[in-house]
Amino acid sequence: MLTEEAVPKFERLMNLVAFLLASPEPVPFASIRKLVVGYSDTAREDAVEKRFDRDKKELREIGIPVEYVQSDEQGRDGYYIPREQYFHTELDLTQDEASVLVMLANSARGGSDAISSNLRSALLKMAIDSPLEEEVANAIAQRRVHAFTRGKRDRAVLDNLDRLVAAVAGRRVVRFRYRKADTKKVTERTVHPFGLGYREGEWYLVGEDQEKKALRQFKVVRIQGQVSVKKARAPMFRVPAGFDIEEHIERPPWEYTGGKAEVAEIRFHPEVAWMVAENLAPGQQFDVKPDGSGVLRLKVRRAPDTHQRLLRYLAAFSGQCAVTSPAWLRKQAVAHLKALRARYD
Amino acid sequence: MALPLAKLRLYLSLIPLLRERPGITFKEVADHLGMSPHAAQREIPEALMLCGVPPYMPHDYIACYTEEDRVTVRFADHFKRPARITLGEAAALLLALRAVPPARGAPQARAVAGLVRKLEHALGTGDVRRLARRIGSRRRPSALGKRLALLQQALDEQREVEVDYYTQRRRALSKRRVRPYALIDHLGQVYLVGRDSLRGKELTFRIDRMRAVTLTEKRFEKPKTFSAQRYRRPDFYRPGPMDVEARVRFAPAAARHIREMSPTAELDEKAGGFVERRVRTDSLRWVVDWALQHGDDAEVKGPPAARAEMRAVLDQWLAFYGA
Repeated sequence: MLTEEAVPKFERLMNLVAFLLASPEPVPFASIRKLVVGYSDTAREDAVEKRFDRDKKELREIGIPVEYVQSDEQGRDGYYIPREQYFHTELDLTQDEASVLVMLANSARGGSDAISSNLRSALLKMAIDSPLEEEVANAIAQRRVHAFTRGKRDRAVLDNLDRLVAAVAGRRVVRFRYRKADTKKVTERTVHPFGLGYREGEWYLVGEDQEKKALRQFKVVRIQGQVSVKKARAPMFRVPAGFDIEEHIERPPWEYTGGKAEVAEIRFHPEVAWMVAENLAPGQQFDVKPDGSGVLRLKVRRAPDTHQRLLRYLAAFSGQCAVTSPAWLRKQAVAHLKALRARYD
Repeated sequence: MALPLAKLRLYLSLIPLLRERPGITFKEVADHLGMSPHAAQREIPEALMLCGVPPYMPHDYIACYTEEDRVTVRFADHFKRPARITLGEAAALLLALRAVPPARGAPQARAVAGLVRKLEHALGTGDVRRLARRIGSRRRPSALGKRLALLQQALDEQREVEVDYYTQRRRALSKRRVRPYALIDHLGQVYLVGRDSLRGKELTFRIDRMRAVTLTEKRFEKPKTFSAQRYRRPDFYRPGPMDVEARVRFAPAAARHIREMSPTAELDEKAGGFVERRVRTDSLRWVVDWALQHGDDAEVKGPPAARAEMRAVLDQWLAFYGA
């Protein structure tokens, strides 16, 4: 008989899943103990049983339904994997659908992109139903490339994203340490994760902060250490009716804080007005003038740094746009630009 | 997820694929696994050689045959299909699908919608629909869709395009004739990579800066040496011999973000929580725009020409305000 150490965990789990899938009927633990390499060793009975319990639990956590039946129709007891629950449904993918999956596979390649492990696993499961020949898939991969993330991304960030994706999907409470953007203060947060969004290379968690009892947005890269996901058999909270992640991640910085929301007007030079008109964010309006210039209308909130926030967007049109109203914002813009100019004298 | 479990999840999906496609290349397998073909060739037979079912006679073990760069598995009938997609995997897939640029009316848009429907079929409609409202990415303007569809057609048919292109650093529109080689989606911005016939070299063009795109009848052949994978990198800009080094100092409020995004070798920590980022660029105007995005929190420290450029830009901007 082999000792436990002689059989690596991966091999033991593979053997267990293979045995349960190959068995036409439920198998009692005694048979697993006797027959399956990884359990048929010299360790004490209770130690092997504990090992089996741990393995079962971990398999269930990755979506492998290891079930126990007591006295089935034929009066048999034992463990089994229900095939209709385990096997992935055949998808009958079209050429175009398979092409999109090839593009996405490109983005998950190399392990440097966020959510890569969940995405890669999903794509691998779907690859079996792809009608594309390898050469065709390679040609597509050469024409379309997606890269989701920017800058440094270490393993810890990717692992946290995987945990958050699972927590959002399974509605499990998460706890993590979070560093605020403007201070170095790190605080412990407990959050009901309602959604996960992506904007310009960054991932954001949106959820209810349990201490503040308010909806908050967290930049995933600012989470310190590991996200802990509370284990539970069933979803732990309800997501508010009508919650839509896009409404949260679309919110521009100049709308975050300040007084009452009001409409600002920004005039753009004809050379760039067409570009603004074609790339409007939700809630923005644009009027084209006869000379080709245009006026953008967007929502702002009055705060001492509203123009500083707007600069994130307006800098791309430096020298070719000007706030026309409200008067306080125009005044703030001129003063701000003059102060910046004074630094370079 | 612990390593053995992550590996198990991967192999439970890989074995059915290997079983379904005898003689699949290690390259294709490696692409799925996110490793090199060499590593796949070494690891896969080793991982599978001891996996089997009782009574562990020779044909009870998964047999893995390799022939040059191809692989075939036998005796793995119990792994005929991969495991069902989990909610976490569906969430990741939905998110990725939402980041695919829309091409209204084009086959790609229909394909994305079809995939979501099939995912609903595989997982249960309710689950996927509920998830779809909670997992998302920034919506892209619809005007980009039409342009993308046209560029996609040009790529497929290898036809040159005429583009009215706005160059940010020069603040000017110009007419370009481009041989499109690939579309690259980089951090939410879609770029066309192609050969600019006027400049005689391979360049990148942001599609939101294209005022008009016209498909021409002129065909071309893409160079065999071209690889779109070269554009899969965190920093899209490719340094050139004419580059200068500029320095921008960031106040503590912005410094953390800059540290997160920048290679450590290009950062100098300064007293009081400030940080200075050194960037190589062929455009001082780009440096100025980048610093301006951070408003009070950034100051261009050098070279003197970059500071002069900032002065000129701010003067021009104040003049536009009539101030």
